[in-house]
Amino acid sequence: MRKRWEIAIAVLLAIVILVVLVFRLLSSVAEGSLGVEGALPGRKASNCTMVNSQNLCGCWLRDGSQEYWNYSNDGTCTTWDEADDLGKEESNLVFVWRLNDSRLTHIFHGQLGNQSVPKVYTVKSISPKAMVWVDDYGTEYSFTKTDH
Amino acid sequence: MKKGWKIALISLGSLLGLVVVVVGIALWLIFTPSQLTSIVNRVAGNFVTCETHFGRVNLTLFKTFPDVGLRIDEVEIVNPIEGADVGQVAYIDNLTIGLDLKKYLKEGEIVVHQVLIDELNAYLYIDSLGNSNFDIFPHSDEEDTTESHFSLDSLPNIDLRKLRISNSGITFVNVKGDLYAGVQDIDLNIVGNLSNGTVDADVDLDVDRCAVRPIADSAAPNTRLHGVKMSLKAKGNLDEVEGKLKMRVANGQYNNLINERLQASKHDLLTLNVPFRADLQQMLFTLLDDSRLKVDDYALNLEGDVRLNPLWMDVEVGTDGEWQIEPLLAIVPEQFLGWKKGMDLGGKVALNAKVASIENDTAGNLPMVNAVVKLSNGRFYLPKSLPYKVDRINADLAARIDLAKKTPWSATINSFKAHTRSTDVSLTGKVDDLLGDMHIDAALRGRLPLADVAPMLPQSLPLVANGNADLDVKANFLLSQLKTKAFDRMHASGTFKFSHLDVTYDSIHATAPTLDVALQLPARQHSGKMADAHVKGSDLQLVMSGIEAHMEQPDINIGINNMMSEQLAAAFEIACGETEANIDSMLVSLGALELKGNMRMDSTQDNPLRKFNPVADIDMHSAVFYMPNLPDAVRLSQFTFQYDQSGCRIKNADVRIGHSDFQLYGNVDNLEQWLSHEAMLKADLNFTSNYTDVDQLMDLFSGMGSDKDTLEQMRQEDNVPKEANPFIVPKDVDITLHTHIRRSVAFGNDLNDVAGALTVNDGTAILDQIGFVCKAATMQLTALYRSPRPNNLFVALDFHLLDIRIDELLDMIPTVDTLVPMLAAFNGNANFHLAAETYLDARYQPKMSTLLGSAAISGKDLVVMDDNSIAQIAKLMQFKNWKDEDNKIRIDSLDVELTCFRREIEVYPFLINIGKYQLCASGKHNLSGACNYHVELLKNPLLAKVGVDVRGTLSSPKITLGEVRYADLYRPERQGVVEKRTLEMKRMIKEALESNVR
Repeated sequence: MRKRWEIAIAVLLAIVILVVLVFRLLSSVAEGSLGVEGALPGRKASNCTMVNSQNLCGCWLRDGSQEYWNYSNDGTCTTWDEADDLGKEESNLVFVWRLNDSRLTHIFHGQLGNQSVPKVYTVKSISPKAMVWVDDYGTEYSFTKTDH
Repeated sequence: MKKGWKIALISLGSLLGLVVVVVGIALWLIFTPSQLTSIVNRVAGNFVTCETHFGRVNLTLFKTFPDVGLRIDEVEIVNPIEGADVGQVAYIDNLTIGLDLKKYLKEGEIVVHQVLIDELNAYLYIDSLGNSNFDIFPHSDEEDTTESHFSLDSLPNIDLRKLRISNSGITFVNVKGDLYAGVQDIDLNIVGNLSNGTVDADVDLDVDRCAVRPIADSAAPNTRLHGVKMSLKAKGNLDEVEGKLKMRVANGQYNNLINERLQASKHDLLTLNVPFRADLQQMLFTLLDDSRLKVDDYALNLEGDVRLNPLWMDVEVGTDGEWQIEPLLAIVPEQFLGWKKGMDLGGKVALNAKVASIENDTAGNLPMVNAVVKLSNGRFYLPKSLPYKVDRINADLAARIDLAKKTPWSATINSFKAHTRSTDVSLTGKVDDLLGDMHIDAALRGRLPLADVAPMLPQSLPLVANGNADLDVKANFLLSQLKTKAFDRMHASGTFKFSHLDVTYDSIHATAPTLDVALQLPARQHSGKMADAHVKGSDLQLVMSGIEAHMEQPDINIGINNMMSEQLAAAFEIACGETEANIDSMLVSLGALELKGNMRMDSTQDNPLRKFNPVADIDMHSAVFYMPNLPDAVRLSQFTFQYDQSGCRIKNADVRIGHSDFQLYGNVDNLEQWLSHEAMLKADLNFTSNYTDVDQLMDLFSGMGSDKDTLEQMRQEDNVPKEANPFIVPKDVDITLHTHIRRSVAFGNDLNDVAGALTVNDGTAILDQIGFVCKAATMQLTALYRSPRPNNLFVALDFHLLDIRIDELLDMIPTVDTLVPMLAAFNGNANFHLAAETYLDARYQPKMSTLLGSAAISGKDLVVMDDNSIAQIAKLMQFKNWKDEDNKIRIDSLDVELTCFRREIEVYPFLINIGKYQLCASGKHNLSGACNYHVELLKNPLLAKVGVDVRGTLSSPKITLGEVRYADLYRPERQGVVEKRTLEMKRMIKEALESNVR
């Protein structure tokens, strides 16, 4: 009698373990298919919005600051913050931008060595006058188009 | 008795008188005037070929007694030729000829003893063809082919007891020779005889006036003499006649050479008084001791021999004492005084000369003159060439003048002394070839104020000099060399001992209490140079192109070219003891200086290096540079360098600045162009140091090369606080220092064995892979620093620290704690790689909006400090027995990559192995401390997977269970695209950082 119980419990555990493993496997597959380019593992990208790069080109002022981002249609961008006593021509942050769907990638190259700093955001919304990004940690960045 | 003698004498006299009367009456009766006139007219045709007229011819006894006289009145000789004003050649109002009657009666020989001519008027004319109206004597039909050898011996005996011409005049017109001469009021008396080789003559000539001039130009200079008197006495054998010639011309004119002053003189114009001895056979005259020629009141003593035909002389001529120059010059014709215009000349002069013809000279025995001129108490003033008076001139000069020009004329200055203001000079020497290219060999000694010399120098010479100089100079040169400034071919040597010297040459100004200059021309020491100058003195002060120098004991050897030109060139060797110099605002003190090289001056240039074009080897010892913008002096125990137009080669510079010492060697280029703002200053130097205080050096050299006013304006525009003093990278320079520093301090850190290249390029400083050891860790730094504005300083770093203790890393670079806050929880050694760039403000605080960076940290066998957050995480993850026996948490390895953008730091997923547990962590935080991290347990004995989120602030995190995210990140067989890309980015960041490690 006792032997039967032991066998039943072992089978049950095996079934449970099997179910758990299958569930995790399926869960993992599902998570992998949702990942988007540039997103950190385990982090969900924000909802995808198809963005026209022409809307991006131009100069943007980050709301509540003197931080400017000037996108050129040659694929480069310059950003500077006049609150730090800095002008556009003096900016060291000149980088390459790339837009895939709503994934906006900035790749900065330092002036020394091979330093390369990638930053990836998701364009949450964009209009001719306003734009909102969000990074993979959920921080939002809102901008207003400016003629600066 | 007496009465008897008386009666006898009276009787004899009466008898003689009767005889004379009887003879006279007889002659009167026999030789009547008409008969005599007829005879003379008849006989005259035998003697002359022209027409003659005789008025009345009488015999006379008393006028010519004891000779028989033939008196002829109104003698007229007529021979008209074409062109002559009159046909009459001569007219004599009264001609008396005394004949030796006894000789005639005894021997039939006509001997004339007396000729008395009264009121002779002669008109002698030669036409343009040479025909004359006085060619009236008959010629022989046979041509005389015998050679004419005149000899006094061949002359017949002459016993001329009286020849007198009185109240006469002669006019001579020579058209062919363009000469008119007229002599008026002639009175001539000659008494003499020549017989048997002896002569006894007495001649007196008195001419009231005479004139000589050209015919064609009546306004041309002519000669007029008034009151001419001459007296000649001669007696003795023909070969030894003694006599005396006296001559006097009261007044007159000779080719306009007699000026008004001389004409108005109370003295006779010319007086000649010559006692002589003569050999008339040889026509040799010896002027005896008292011979004297006097013009106005100036007498020349003559002594010597003169031979006529051909002319030859050996005569000594001397002034009768000293002549005053001023009145002497007053009687010199104006045309000879052009050189004296504006000149004041005075003093006394004495002349002694020997005038001697050279024997057998084919040029006509022209004489050679050897003269000695002595000048005493002379004075000279010519303002246009010398603006001060020269007086106390005493000179003893000798000259040799060869009128035949067979030997060069020369002059010897036996002595010449002169004084002007405070100047005394003496000159001796010799000048050869006076008429040609004068060769001057002279010695000048004197003491003179330099201000007196300036007017004698070329105006183009930019020289102003004051002070005194004692000269002792010898020179040997040709006048042509002096005129053409061919100083390289002239010879000179001497010393100039200057006192209280103050000289300005172009932009160079020098002063010295005493300075000795030895000059040698041409240069011996400096081959190829025009002159050597050796300068020794004390306390020499030198100012040139912003440089002020003070040399205690200068010893300068210079070889100079183009000394009198604006394009001065020189080779120099300078040795100085203690020297101080002020260059612009920099004070330089030298223990010793040796300088060797050359320079070529170009006054048209402003750039000092182009102006002087120096080529130099310079060796300084114990040099100290005090610069106004450097609080500390720059001390060089030795500084050896070479400079030329191609650049500056520093052989060795042992430098101490503040706390730092270093040795420099290498090249500095473009100095010349840099000074003209045409190019950057380039330097490639090796920098070896035992100790370098980088912070202090940066303070010292901050802003060098930038305009101070511009810098201050930029500070004001940037609102830079006074206490902030950011390092401004020198501009306009491109300097590379290859460093090797044993010990240094930088930003408060002790750095050892620093090696690498530091480049400063037009406002940008670059440290290129500088390696060093700090806190026992090996480090490598590549950095870039720009200072476009005092409040906008750009810095970029590529920094590698290998095997450094983490706590020391955080102590050395506190910013790392900001970037990786969890690092403070670890203890042990790690490798740290950082690449970052940012702008800094004037206080070196980063402008976070410009911060961009990436870092990689890796370590093994680390100990985790007891940390509350870690304890919370361990509790949530149900760690069991995860601490060692000593209660320490040990981790096998740590491998972190992170990026920094503005105020945000993002840490890429990294693994931590703690005993049997393996964790993965990632997340971000910002500089305000807000964080969002995730820690996940990947391995544990229970195979449980637990995730923890760390949010809130770093100082007070909120730690909660979270989702599991990284289960497959480090399981290659299960990695998806995202996992692979994430790890690829980690790898890319790490490799990029580590790739620059040497």
